[in-house]
Amino acid sequence: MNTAAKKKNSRFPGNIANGKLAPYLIMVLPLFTAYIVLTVLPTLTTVFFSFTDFDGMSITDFHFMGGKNYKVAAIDPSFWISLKNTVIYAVAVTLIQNFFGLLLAVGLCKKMKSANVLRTLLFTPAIISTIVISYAFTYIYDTNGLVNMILDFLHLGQFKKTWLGEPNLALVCVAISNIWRFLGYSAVIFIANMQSISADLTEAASIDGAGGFQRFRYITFPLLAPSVTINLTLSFIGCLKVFDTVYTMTNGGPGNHSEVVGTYILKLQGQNLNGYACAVAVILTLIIIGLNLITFPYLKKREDI
Amino acid sequence: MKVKKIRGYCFEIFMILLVLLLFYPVILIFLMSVKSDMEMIVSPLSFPQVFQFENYKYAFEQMDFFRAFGNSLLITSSSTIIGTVIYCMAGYAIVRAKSHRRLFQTMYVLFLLGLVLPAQSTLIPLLYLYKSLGLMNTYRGISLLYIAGGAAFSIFLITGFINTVPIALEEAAALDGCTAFGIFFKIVFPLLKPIICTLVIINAVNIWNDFFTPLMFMSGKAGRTIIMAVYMFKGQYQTQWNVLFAGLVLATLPMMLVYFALQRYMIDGMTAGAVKS
Repeated sequence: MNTAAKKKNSRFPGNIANGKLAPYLIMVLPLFTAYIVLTVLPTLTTVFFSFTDFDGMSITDFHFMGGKNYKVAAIDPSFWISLKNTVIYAVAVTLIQNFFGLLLAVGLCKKMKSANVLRTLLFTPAIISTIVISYAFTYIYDTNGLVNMILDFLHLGQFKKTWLGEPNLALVCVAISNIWRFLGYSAVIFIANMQSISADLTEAASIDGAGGFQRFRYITFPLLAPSVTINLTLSFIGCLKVFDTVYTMTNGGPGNHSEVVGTYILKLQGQNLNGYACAVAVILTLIIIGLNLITFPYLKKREDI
Repeated sequence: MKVKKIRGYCFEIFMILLVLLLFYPVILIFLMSVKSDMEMIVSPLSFPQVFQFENYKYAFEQMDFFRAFGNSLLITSSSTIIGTVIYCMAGYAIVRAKSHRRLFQTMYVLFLLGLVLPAQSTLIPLLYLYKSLGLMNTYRGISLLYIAGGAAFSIFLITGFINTVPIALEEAAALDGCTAFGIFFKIVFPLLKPIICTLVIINAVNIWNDFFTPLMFMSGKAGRTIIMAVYMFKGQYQTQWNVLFAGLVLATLPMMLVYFALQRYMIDGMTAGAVKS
C-alpha cells in the first residue's frame, strides 16, 4: 500500500518530468557553456591578468606584479581624466536625456491624430547604428558643417568653431548626439507607463481643482516611478560603458579631453599594456556594479509609494 | 469648447514641428547623400537641385555592398536564430527544473551579472583565446560571441515571460507521458511566440548595428559587416561628405525598411523588459 501510494505519487507530473535533472541540464548547457567560456571565464581571466604584466602576445611569458597595475592607475593622470569624463558624461546624459524624454512623453500623451506617427519618427534613431549617427554628427559639427552654416546664416559667424576640436566642447558635442539618439527611446518607455495610469486619478484631481502642473507633479509623476527606474538605470549603465560614439567622433581627442574609460582601455591594449588595460577594465566594471548597487535600491524604493 | 479644440490643434502642430526638427538629422543623411560636390559646398542646407546618384554607385562599389550586406545578414540571422532557440531552452530549464533548484538559481544569477559587464571586461582574454584558436575573422567565432553576449538580457526577458505561462498544460502533457523535451518543443515553445518576437527584434537590431565586436574580432576585408564597411569607408573618404552619406544610407536603409514595415512591433519589442504591460 505504502509503496503503491509512493508509486502513484511519483506519477504526479511534478515528480516525473520536472523532477529529473538530466533533460533540464541538457537544455541549459549549450547556452551556459558558451556563456561560461566567452563571458565568465574571460572576466575572471581579466581580473587575473590585471595582477600581471601580460603583453597580449605570449601566454607563457608574464610576471606577477601584485597590485602594481592598480597603484599605477591611482597616479595615472590620463586614467583619472578618462574616469572623470566617463562619470560626468554618464550623469549629465542620463539626467538630460530623461528630462527631455519625459517632456516629450507628456506632449505625445495628449490625444492627437498624429501621435503614433510622431512616436515612430521619434524612436527611429534608436534603430540606427551608433556609427552612422556619429558620422552624421561629425558632419554637423565639422568646420564646414551644419552648425557653422546655421551660425553664418544667423550672422553669428564669430561663434563658428571646429566643435569636436575644442578641448572643452568635444565631449559635450558627443553627449548631445547620444542624448539625441536615445531621447525617443526614453520617451517611448515613459509613454507606455503613462498609458497604464488610470485617467480616473487625474480627472479626480482636476475636479478637486488641481492645475495641469500640479496634476503632473502629484499624480502622474509618482506613478511613473517604474519607468523612471528603468530609464535611469538603462541610460546610466549604457553611458558608463560608452565606447562607440567617443571612439568614432573624437577618439578621446583633442589630446585626451574627451577620453572615456572605454576608449582608454583600447588605447592601452593597442600599446600592448594588456595587464594594465585589464586593471582599468576591472576598475570600470567595479564602478558600474558599485554605482548601480547604490542607485538601484533607492530608485526601487520610490516605486513602492 | 471651440477654444479648447483650437488650442488642441495648435499644440498638435507644435508637436509635429518639434518632432520633425528632432528627426531632421535623419532627413539630413538622406538629403546629403544625393547632393553634388558643388552643392555640398555652396548650399548644403537646401533641398538638392540635382540628384547625384553617382554617390551611391561610388559608395556601393567602395563598400563592396553586396558582400558586406551578405556578411551582416549571415551573422545577424545565424546568431539570432540559433541564439533564440537556445535562450528559450535555457530559460525554460531555469524556471521549470524542480530538482537541484540551487544549481539553476546560481546559473540564473550568473547570467544576470552579464547585464552590467562592459565589453572591455572580457576583451583581452577573448582576443588571446580567439587568436590562439584561429577563430578571428570567422563567422562561427563572431556568432558565438553574439550568442554569449545576448545571453544575459535574453535570459532576463525569457524567464520573466515563462513565469507567467500557466504550468497546467505542461503537467497534463507530463501525465500523458510526454518527456521534458517533448513538453518544451511541442507545448511550451509555441506559447513563447510573443517573447520570441521580442528576442529576435532586440538581438537582431543589436547585432546588425554592432560596431565593437566586428572592430575587434572581424576586421578582415572578407568578413566585413556593413557597419565595418562604413567605418573603413569613412577612413578613406574623410571629407567627401556626400559620398560618405550615401554609404551611411546604404548601411541604415535595410534596418530602417524593416522598422517602418513593423514599426509598432519593433518599438514594443525593443522596449520590452523595460515596460511591463
